[in-house]
Amino acid sequence: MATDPNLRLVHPPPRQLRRAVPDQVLGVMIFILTEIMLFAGFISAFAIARSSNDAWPPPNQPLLPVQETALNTLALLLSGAVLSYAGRRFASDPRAALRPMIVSMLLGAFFVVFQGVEWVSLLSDGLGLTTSTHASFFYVIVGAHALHALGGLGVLVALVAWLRAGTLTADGFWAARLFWYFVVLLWPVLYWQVYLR
Amino acid sequence: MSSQPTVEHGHEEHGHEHHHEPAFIEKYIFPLDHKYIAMQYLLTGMFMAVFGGFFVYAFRLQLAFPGISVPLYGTVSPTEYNALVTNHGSVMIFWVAMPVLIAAFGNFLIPLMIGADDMVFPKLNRLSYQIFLASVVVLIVSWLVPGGGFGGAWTAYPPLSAKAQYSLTPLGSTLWLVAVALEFVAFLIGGINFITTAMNSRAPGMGAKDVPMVVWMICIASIMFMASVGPLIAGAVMLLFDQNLGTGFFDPDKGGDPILWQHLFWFFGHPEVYVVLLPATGIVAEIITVFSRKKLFGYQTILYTAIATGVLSFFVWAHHQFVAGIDPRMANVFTITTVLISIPIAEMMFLYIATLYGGSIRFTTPMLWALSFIAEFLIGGVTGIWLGASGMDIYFHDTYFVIAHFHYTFFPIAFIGTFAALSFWFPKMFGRMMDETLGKIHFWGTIIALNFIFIPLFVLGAAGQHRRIYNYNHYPELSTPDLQSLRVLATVSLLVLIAFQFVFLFNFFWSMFRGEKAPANPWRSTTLEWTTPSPPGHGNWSPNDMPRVYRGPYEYSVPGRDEDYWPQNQPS
Amino acid sequence: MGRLVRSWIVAAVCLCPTPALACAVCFDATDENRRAFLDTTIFLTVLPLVLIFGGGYWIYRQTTAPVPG
Ligand code: HEM
Ligand SMILES: [Cu+2]
Repeated sequence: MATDPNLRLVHPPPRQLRRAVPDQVLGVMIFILTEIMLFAGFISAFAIARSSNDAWPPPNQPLLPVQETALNTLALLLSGAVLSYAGRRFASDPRAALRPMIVSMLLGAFFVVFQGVEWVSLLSDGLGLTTSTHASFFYVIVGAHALHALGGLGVLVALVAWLRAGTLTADGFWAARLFWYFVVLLWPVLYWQVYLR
Repeated sequence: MSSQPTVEHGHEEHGHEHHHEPAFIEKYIFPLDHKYIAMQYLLTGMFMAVFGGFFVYAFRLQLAFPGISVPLYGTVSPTEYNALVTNHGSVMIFWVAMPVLIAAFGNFLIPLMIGADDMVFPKLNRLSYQIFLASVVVLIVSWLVPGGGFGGAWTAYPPLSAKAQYSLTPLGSTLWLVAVALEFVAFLIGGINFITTAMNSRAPGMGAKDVPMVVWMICIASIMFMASVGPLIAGAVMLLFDQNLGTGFFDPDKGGDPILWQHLFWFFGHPEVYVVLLPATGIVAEIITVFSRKKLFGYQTILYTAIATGVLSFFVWAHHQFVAGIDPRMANVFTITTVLISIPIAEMMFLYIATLYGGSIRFTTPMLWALSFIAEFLIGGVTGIWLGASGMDIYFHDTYFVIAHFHYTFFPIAFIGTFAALSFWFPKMFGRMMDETLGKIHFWGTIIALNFIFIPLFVLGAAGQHRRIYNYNHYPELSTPDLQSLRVLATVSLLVLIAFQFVFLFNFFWSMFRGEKAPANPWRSTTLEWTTPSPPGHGNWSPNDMPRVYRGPYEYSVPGRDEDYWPQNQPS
Repeated sequence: MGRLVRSWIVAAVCLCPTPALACAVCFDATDENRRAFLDTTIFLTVLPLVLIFGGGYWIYRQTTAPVPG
């Protein structure tokens, strides 16, 4: 918004609006609100399906890899923590954020690849999309999260490129971090709901 | 838009890339300017309304005169009947009410009313319209594929919507679902823009209480939309899988649950009705203050009632499922919350009436529309309370009483609200005035016909006429001559109502090119959009003359001043 | 009895109706399923409000916080 340098002082003098939260950050916050509700819908649906089936998960289907995924959960959480560290480094010296950003990105990529490997082995064990409602929910919910993780990884790659080109702004970085935190913190909830219950 | 009055920009020396007048393609086909995106939404919405209107025309004639060959359509088969009803509802809610009320007026009004040069994310704004347009294309394609359009009702309850052997429209149902999902994405992007813009781009001096009510309402509605749409998108993904990939989320045979869909659908569905209601009430607030030359009575209270409605609207949705086999404890709770939600809404209406009290009222076309909104919506709201009482709803559910109820809410919102807003802001949008005489003819023709359509439907519903029936002659108790004559009355009134819409269309397009040239502030209003030329140029104000705000938006008839209005941007 | 007390009692009684088995509307699959619908209803209703008001409060705090530096 343009400001008039020769502001005529009158009563009451209008103050320039204070942008408490930068545009991008606010936009991403609202987007995350919708995303959280999307997954709340999935989790609720899953809980209802669980309640109306006696054996859950159905006994005659391959088990979900609970321990391996716990390890993978740690990798993703670590990725979020490292990105948060990168955010703090960025404030003092943008260049210093580069290395933690790349580490965070690699950890995120590890998570996605690991999930992919898991899916392949589950599929080859005979757990298909239509094996049971439980399996359908598993693929839809975890798949939806995987899509978000891929999107987030894309953002992280772009962040690294922008940081190198020197065009990364503090606000943009903040907004992108928020999205990645969402992807990271959502996962333990899904893990608890889908794998552990 | 034939004549663009020359707008003083005075910014050449700035070289501000953002502010130059764009070329034709950039301006009309792929615009970034919020005003042109608003026009795109408006015209697309009006275009879709033609389809929605044509569908209801065809199926109402079938109901009044079963088996006739409908002029311009032909005979209506049972499957076609279902597709017509379904798509009438979906088009009117998702492709008329939402794009026109929220997207078109939100885009047009928010930056102008808060004194900003554009939305904060203009490119996202353009993307939002393009996705919306894609959803329109997908929907229209869904009517043309083999098997015809989706016929499982706008609520798309499985198993009817999930299984091709029931709905008989395998392609139609999938395309319909995809179109709805695309439309939601478009409004998500749009809503993010609205809220961020209203929070961050207000003119200097514009505090929370200086924001015009309609901007508040559109923002509250957008937040509600964002917060409620997620579970429905989840449900839509699951339904899409059920339709095409053989999963059984909603299929009891495979361990799923059909009630689950209703749960997810109405979690969105009820907030959605208030999502469209709030912008319309905001529009009414702007108009009644201008034409009664009075300050809005209880600005803060109205704001609180809107927030209360927003909060409560998350607590009432199971009133659509009283007959679906939900837990009776839940039914009781939802009866109580449903009755509670009418309190803030009623209070808002009373405050509007109090605004009128003692004002110097001028019955211009926009004012007539605004007043009729209050009157007609009250009928819809009051009958909603009856339906909210679960005991009564067991009888009324899925009868024409419900149909009449929600048309007494939706018609005021989607059409009366739009006509009010269009006739009020037309001068600002197109730089010309609409014709008052034609406007009044259109108003009276529409309002009288409206009541003659829906009062018979109340009576029919109370007599037990179930909805979603193709031919009442198959039901001896429902095909008595007095009930049939009510059906004919409703249908004939519908034809009258449609006929009067041609008056509007003529007035709209004629005035756009031939209307009397509009001054910057034809209604002598106080809000910021009237301080720019009509129509505003690119960037709305010249960059070194952006408005500043010194007072609230409704300073009419302030004692001791020469003029009876005191614009927000005047220092003294 | 105070009015408030009476209305609370009425409200409490409303919350424990007995299903009439002859009534098509009062039927539900299992108790567990019922509970799940009730729980997710509460969850879905409360979550968006907590998020909106939590976010709103945070933004409000940001606006009134002293400018850093
Ligand atoms: C005081 C406010 C309102 C109350 C208490 C209320 C109550 C109800 C109830 C209880 C029903 C369910 C009837 C049934 O299916 O048996 C219903 C249906 C409906 N209401 Fe309302 N309502 C209110 C306002 C609105 C508004 C503002 C709108 C629209 C913008 C609206 C749109 C609808 C629609 C579309 C349906 C029917 C959906 C369907 O089954 O296809 N209502 N209303
Ligand atoms: Cu409702």
